[in-house]
Amino acid sequence: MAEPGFIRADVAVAGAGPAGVAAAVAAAGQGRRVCLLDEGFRPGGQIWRHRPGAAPPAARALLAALAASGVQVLASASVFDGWRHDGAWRLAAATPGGRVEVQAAALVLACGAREQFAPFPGWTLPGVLGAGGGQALLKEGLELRGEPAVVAGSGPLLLPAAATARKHGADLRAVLEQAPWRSLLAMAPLLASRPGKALQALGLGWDLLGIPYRPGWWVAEALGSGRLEQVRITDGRRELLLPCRWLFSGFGLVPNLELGRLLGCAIGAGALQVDGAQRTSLAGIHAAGEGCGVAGVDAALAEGRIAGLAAAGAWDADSPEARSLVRARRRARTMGARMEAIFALRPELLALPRPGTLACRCEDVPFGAIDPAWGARETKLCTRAGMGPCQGRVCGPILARHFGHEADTVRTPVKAVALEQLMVPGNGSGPSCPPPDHC
Amino acid sequence: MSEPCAISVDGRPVPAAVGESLAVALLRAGVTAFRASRSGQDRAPLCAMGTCYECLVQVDGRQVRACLEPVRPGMEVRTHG
Repeated sequence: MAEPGFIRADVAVAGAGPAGVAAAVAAAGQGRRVCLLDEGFRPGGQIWRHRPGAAPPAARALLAALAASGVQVLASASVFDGWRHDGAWRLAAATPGGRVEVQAAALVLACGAREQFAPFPGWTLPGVLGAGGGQALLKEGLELRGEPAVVAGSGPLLLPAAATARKHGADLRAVLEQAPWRSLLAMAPLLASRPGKALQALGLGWDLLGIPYRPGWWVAEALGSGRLEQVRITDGRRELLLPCRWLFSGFGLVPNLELGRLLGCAIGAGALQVDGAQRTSLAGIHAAGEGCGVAGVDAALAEGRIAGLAAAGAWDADSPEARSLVRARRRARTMGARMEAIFALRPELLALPRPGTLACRCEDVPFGAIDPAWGARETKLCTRAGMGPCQGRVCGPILARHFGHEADTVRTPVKAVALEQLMVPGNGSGPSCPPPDHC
Repeated sequence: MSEPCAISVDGRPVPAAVGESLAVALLRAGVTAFRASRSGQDRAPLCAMGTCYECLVQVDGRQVRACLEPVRPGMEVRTHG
C-alpha cells in the first residue's frame, strides 16, 4: 500500500532541466520507475523557462517524451536532504503538499548552475536583476514596453539575454561585456569549429544587429531612489551615466553542488567528479550537466542521457549511440572550458564595492564589516554572512573572490524549508525527530 | 495558452495569467518591494530561479518565493510594501 509522502522508484533524478529530463526519459525508456524532482513548477529548468503551453522549439521533443514516458514528475519540490538508507538512496523534498521522501537504488544529480554575481554599489536596488534571471522572467511573460534597459556582466549568456530583452520590448541602451576585445578575439578559432555557438556568443546574431555592444566596459554603480534609475558605466578610463529602469547583470554561472556535497560525492575544481558513465565517487549516484562543470545545454543533454542509461544499468560504452553521446559531450565540454578562459573576470571588478556595499544580501552584511584577516568561519560567526535563507549561494562565490573564503561544508537542510517539513511523519502521537545520526 | 485571471496584491486587484510566475505578475504590476531586508531595504527578484530568496512574499499566509509560485486565480499576496 502506498504511504503518503513516500515514493519508491528505481531511479530518482534531482533537477528537471535538460540534463535531468534527458536522464529521466532515458531511464524510463529502459523500463525503470523514475521519479523526477524539481523546484520549478514546470519541467525545463532555467534555459527552457516558458509561459504555460509555450515551450521553446528546442525543448518540445524532449518535454513531449517526458510527458509520454511514465516518469513521475514532482514539481515545486525543493530537495533539502539526501542519505543512504537500507542499501538505497533517499531524498527528502519540501513540496506544497508537505514533506516527500523518495527512495531509489540510483540517483541522478542534475541540479544545474546558478548565476554568479559581482557586487557594485547599488546592486541591491529593485530593477537590478541577474542576466539569466531577467531573461527567465522575460521568457515567462514580463514585457518591458519600451522601458530603457542595460545588459551587463560577462559571458556567453549576455547576448541571448539582450536579444530576449529586446524581443520583449526593452529599449536596450547597451550591452556591456567586461572582457576586453582581445579576449573575445580568442574566440575566432571557435568560429570555424562551432559557428552557431560562437556567433551567438560574439553577438553577431541577427537578433542583435544594431545593439550597442561594448566589450571592455562594466557597470561601476547602480543609482536610484527606491528603484533603479541609472547606471554609471566605465571602461577604466571614461565614465558615462546611462538612464535605465532595468539592469540585467550576470557574471557567468556556478554549479549547484550542495546536494552532491551533502551526499558525500567527490568534488574537484568546483565540480562533481564523474567518470565516463557520469558516475560520481559514490556507488549508485550519477551526475550530469552544469554540476559537472558549466558547459551549456549540449553537454547537459548528452550527459543526462548517459547518466540516465547508466542509472538504469543500460550503459554500453561500445554502442553506436554511446559513441555519439561521448563525442557530443567532449565537443560541448571543450567549448565550455574555452569560454571560461575567455570571460575571466577582470581585477577592477573587485575594487567596485564600497565599505557600505552589501556582500551578503540575506543578512545585509556590508563589505566594510568583514575583516580581510578573517577566514570563512570567523566571518560567518562575526557577521552572519552566508547564514540567511540563500545559505551563501549568492555571497559564497563573492566571498571566495574577494576574501579567498571557501565554502566547502554543507549540512541538512540544503534549502531553506519550513520547520514542519523537517519533521519525519510520525505515528499520530506527535511530531518525531529524524534519527539521531542524521540530525 | 494561459487564461487571464485576477489576484489580490496587498488588497488591490492585479491582472495576471493562470499558471504564470507570480514574480512576473508582480513586476508587471509595478511592484518593487517584494520583501524588506533585515535592515529595511526594499528588495525585488534577483536570480528569478529560487536561489536568492529576494522575492519572498506571503501567499495565502505562506512564505513563498514569487519566482517559483504559479499564479492561481484569486490568490492573496502580501508584499512588505
